[in-house]
Amino acid sequence: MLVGGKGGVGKTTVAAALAAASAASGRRTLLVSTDPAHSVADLVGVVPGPEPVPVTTDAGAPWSVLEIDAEQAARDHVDRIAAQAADVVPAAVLPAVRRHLDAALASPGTQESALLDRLGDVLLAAQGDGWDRVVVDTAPTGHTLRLLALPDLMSGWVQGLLNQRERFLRTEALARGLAREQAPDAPDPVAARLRERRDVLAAVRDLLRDRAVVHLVTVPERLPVVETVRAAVALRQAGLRLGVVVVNRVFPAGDDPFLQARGRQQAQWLDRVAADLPDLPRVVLPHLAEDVALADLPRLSAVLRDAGL
Amino acid sequence: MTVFARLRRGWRSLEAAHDAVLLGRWRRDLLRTARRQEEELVSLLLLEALGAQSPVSYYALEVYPWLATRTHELHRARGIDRLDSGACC
Repeated sequence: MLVGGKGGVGKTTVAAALAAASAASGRRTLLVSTDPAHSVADLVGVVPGPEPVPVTTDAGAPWSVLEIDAEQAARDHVDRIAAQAADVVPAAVLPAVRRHLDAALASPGTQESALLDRLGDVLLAAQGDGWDRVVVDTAPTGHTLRLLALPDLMSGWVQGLLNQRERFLRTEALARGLAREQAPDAPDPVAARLRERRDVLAAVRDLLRDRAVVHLVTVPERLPVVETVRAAVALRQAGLRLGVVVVNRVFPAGDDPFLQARGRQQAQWLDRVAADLPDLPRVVLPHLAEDVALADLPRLSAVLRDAGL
Repeated sequence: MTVFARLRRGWRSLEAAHDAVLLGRWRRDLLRTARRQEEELVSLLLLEALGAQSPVSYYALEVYPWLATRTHELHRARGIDRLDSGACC
């Protein structure tokens, strides 16, 4: 399950509470953080790395957390390619290759791609690694939307590149046949890699479409609600399944005039969520009196479990 | 030399001439086409270097080592001394 929403609405808290709820139902659960702000570490008190780290709370079953370091993933990717290049590229061209790779590493899209790449790996390996459920704490909405639509777009694009390469190989083979030259022993490494990449991207696309569910987190205020409605429409268009809308930080009823005014306003936005997304169940989480901490998770996850999550 | 052997030799040289002239031309055409097709792929992979976005540039890097030599030949052949993006020289 993927947890998405505007920045600052409590995605990380909800994702952690969902992980706790899932673990409490007896599932081996992994929380994956893709948030560059490292919020998970602040919340759960352990510093997650590229490998799963267990989180134990006083109440409830343990679950694990992993954080994708996009920068490191991109560096690893480039280093791997550089090592490969050293074997296949003439020494004279090698410095140019290294420069190209370094430039790519510094370009803005690279980190995002690296993040998606790693996330895909984690999701594809999840079952084999023994996880019953993976909860992904995503980056803010805009990013998430792009991220989730990308595997589909990219697998198609890579297929196009592969077709192009295969056209070239066919033409070349024909020319070689005319000269009665021997075909090379090894298959074309470029086509092999493109094919491999296309298959992985298609697998990630299918996994997201068939097995993922996106829960949207919002708070009962104008901008987050409007953005949530927009995100719901876009995610559906991208072929993703939606779960619930978690409305976070809802004020308790009270006699205080400020609380009452705020409550009326919040009720209005809750109604708006209900009106605009009538087919999505809503789960309301209370505004806590103090900053949320690991000790609050059982209470929040109980609400989520009651809602069937 | 028998008539038969002379005929055979004559046929062989005719065949060789045919190969050299017709097949050779066809083959050159094919090689030119192959070269253009390969250049197209290199261009697509290096869209960033040409200032256009590619959604798969991260993965394009994976096949870059095998195409780097061709990239180099390609931009030199096009009379571009260096690619500003740093994609090559």
